[in-house]
Amino acid sequence: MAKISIEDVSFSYEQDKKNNFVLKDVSYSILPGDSVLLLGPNGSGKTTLLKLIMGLLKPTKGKIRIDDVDTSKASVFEISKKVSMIFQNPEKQFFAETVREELSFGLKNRGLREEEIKKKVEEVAKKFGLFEYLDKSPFDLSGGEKRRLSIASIIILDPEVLIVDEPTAGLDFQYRNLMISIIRGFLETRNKSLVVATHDIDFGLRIANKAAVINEGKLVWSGDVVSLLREEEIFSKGILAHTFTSSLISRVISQSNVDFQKVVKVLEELTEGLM
Amino acid sequence: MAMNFVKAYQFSRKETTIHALDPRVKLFVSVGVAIIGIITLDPIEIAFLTVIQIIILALSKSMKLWLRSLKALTFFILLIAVSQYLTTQSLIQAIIFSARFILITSATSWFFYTTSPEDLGRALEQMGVPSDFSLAFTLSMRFIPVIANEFQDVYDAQRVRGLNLEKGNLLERTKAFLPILIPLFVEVIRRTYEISDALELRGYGFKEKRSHWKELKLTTNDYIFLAFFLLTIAIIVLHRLCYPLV
Repeated sequence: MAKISIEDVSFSYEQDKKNNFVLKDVSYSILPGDSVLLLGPNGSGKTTLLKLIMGLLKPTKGKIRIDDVDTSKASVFEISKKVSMIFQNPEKQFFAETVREELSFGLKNRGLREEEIKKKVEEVAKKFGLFEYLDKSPFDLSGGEKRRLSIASIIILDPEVLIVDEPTAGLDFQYRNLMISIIRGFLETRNKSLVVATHDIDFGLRIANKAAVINEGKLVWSGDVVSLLREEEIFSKGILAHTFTSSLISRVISQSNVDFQKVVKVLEELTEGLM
Repeated sequence: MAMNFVKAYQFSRKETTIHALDPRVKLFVSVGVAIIGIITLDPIEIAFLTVIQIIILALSKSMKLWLRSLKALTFFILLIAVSQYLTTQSLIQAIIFSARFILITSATSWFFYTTSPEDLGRALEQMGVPSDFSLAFTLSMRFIPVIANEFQDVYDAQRVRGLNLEKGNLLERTKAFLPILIPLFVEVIRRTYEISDALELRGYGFKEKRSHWKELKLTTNDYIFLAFFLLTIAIIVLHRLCYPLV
């Protein structure tokens, strides 16, 4: 499974203004099995970092390696064999006449055989509850079905590392839970990794085991999620803001030795019970 | 990729004399220069007008933008030069045709760099263009960068799914654009409905004649700018009379 090394990476969108860096000297490693939560205020450089990992942007300084491959020397097509990305509002990418075609697009680009594509498409469609819509137009689906299809069209590529940008933006409670179950399903396969950029700390706490905080283009903190909740400075400086749930979890784990995962599970069960 | 072409004509707000000129005057001069650029084949006239365009670009503090746009247009400049050379077998002709293209794009570039879509819409309206048309024109100008960003987003999303635009013959490459163009059109149409709803909700079309918070009026600087332009035309006409092209 893939390991991602970000080595002293700086990036500027304006090639002639090299002092105008969106990211400055960022170093970080994502190991197989990591589920990393990328946090930071608006405009801190989270999406830029995700696009750099995916090879959609090339670093102005420094290197990003996926195993031994330098992303600035590899094509997005090459990188996409190991890493895949779900963009914010992913349903905007639909173009095919049927759900089946939409799901098979990435596999066809990879040159898989027809029978293999058919098998995979049906398998993933069943998993995502889209089997009965396979011959329907993607544009005729409901909001939730569209979101499921857009994510399924990435998961079908079976990436080793999944990058997700703001997965809960504009989603209601039901769809947030759907995203969580999809991501958890992806992480069930041993050593798959996940990088999620989000503002939604509550969502992040339910799926991640590590966290990295970016502020004004700099990596200001990294560690495991439990340590993040104990890191008062990040919250007191206003880089991140506690929500009701995160502050509750933070209090519970700081005042007792209860396991973090257990606290999250209890809260989830409690919420479900109330619904 | 898409953004490079858009930046070649994107308005950039600055405090300069050229920015402050009446948009109608700028439109008249810019179109005038572009027409001369299309008509003339005289290298001296082209060079003279290009120098004037460069002075205007410098006065509007847009030289960097212009140079960047030339970089984005290099392919077309070379294409014109090569095709001219192949058809006429004349290097001078090839240079003249590329120089004309640069002249025309420079004249239109400084106009778009220094004139906001709103000012352009207002100018069109005061020139007698029906307000519905000028609004549609202003909105389409305003949304060009938005659509270009959208194009980049869809392009990135499809690349992640393995789309490769550099593979195959011309037909295959053209076909490969469909997964980008279809979502883009869907999004543009969706936005169009959204904008028309928003306009209607804010009372657009409620009254036949709309009032404006700022009426355009020519100032001394506008007259000076026009006078310089007319002087330029006079010099070109004089040059043409003294040295007619054979």
